[in-house]
Amino acid sequence: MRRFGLVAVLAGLALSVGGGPLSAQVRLTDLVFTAGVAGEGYWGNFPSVSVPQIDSATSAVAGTGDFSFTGIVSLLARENRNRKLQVGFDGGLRQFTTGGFQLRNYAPREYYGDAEVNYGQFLGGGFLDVTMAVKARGIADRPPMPLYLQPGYERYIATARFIGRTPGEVFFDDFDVGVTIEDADYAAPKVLPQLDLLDRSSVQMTLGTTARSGRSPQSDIGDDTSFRLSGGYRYHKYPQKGLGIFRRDHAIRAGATWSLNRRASQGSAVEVGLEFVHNLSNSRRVEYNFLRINAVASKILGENTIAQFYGTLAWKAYIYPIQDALVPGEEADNASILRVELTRFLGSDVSGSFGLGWTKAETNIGGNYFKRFGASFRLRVRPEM
Amino acid sequence: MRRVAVLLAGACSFAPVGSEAQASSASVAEVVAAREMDFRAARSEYFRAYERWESTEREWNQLVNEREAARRSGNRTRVGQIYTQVQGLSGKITQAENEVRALRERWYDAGDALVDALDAHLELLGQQIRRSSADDLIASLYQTQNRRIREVEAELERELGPRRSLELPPFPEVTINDGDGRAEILSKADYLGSKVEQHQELLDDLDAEIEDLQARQRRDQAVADFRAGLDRFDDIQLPITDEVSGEEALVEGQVLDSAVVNLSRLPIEERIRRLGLLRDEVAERVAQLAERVAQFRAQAGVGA
Repeated sequence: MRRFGLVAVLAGLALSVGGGPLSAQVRLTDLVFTAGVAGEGYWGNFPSVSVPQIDSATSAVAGTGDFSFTGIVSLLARENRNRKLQVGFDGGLRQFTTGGFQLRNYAPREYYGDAEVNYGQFLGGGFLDVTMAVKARGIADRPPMPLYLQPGYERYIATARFIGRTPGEVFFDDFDVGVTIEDADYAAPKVLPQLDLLDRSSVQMTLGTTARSGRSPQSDIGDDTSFRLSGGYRYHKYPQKGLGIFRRDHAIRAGATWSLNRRASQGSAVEVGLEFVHNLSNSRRVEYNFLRINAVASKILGENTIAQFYGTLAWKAYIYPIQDALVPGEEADNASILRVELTRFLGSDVSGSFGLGWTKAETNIGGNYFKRFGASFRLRVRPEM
Repeated sequence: MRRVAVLLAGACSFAPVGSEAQASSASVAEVVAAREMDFRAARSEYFRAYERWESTEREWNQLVNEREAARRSGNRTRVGQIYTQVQGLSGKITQAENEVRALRERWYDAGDALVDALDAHLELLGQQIRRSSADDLIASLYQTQNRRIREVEAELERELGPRRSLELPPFPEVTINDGDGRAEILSKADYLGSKVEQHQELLDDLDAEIEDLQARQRRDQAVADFRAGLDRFDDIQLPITDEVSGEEALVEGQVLDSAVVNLSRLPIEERIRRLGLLRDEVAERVAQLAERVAQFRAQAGVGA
């Protein structure tokens, strides 16, 4: 946890340098309540080392109900134009009822909570952003495959990032440098001590640059296009994985993101990202190459309706594919995920969304996949602040 | 938006090479030239309209002074004549004011369009310079266009000020004087009535602007809600790529954008709030002016 001090020092420096006088004012600037129901089907019976139970069912169904709330509290008065200090919170509960299992039908319940403090300010011609976050997830009555649900954990994350203008007349307008440190602790129940293998400490450094066109500094209403290149180095330490010599990974990452925002003229926006990771480790069996393509899009359909899409295609290939079983906790790394959602605004504070989701992901047995398909309906209430 | 349109008009918006880049640059230069002409035409029209308004305003003030003098000297015939003239001028002033307002917006738009075109031209010139295919002429043109952007922005700021002032003009000080007759009071009531109309128009504009911003805010929030919903129960989590701060991989560009955009100008919720405050002030002003008009008419013996 001592490394989190680095981010605290950066935040302290930022507070002490420039920005003018501070005046405090606690304001709840956003609050959203969401309630939803969904029906889902799962196919494929493959064991996962991070799931203790085994069931011979090859397909299962589930009905879910969920409730969540999220909000932002601003801690600085409105006149602090050059600074922001806010606390974000997000919490939720999802209850499943399942069918189709051979031994018994499970009733998993997921809890999720996230709290983060974010400070930002203009500094030296650029913008400094510091975030400290705690994320926690719990799951009770975790079911066997094919109903795969992520295990519970606690994660502590600190990020500091500086965004500045690129000097000189070059193609790229902005640059950014950032550092993120994280400790993740997986809540291993007594019957599943192997979950502790997933515990890790990480440090990531990122350098990126962005070219923008279309949006003038005076207006953010118009369309715009941006292209971002980024690269980074990532270090992971797994203090529970290994016998005496614990696993340590070094990864280099390169990414590109292209976004086309045409909301003002055509009501649409698209963002496509490409990411490549080359991971090296002191354990050769977990060295791999990873490639992922992400796409996020939205289209405004009339005054009160918006359609949205999210898609991911991910490939991962171990450099020394000598093992049959994949690494615990790294199942689902080869995956295709699609989500679409149609949102209708039902009033100034209420919206309803109908969504469809499809996932195809590799289990921890290489080359074997499970599939998930679901439909959901959600009501969101955002009281006027 | 316009900048991209300009680039498209230049036939090749991305990475033109060699002669293609020069051809594209030439096409964009034509668009710049056309928008420069539009900008100058809009400026001339604005100044002509402004002079017309000034002249009418001057004439109106002069007539008001003459009427006051005639009233003091007891020349009722002349007072009546001037009253008729003032009535005619009131409509002209309102028309001239509306014209100035419309041409002011047009000049702003023409300036924005010109800056967008210049910006696009700079981008293409910059590409040529970076590819070392540019000569001194290109470098000089780059500097000229860059300077022109600053000139245009400075001129608009100097002549027109900020695009929308968030302060109301002072309340028109129109009162009934001791010697005012029915005609004078009605004239003043008409003048105040024209102010009611102006403020009502401003109120309608503000309502429309607030509605637009609220629609944008709702859409932005829907996008954010969708993404938060995807993340919340880890349904889209891929363990290896989310090991450290998953948000960057998902929407890294927008994360950075929102950090810069939200602080480099007022956040949308703050703009809505400020416009809402102004809207309330304008609505109050409309009510006050309407009440004053009713009082004047009642004083003149005309039903509200």
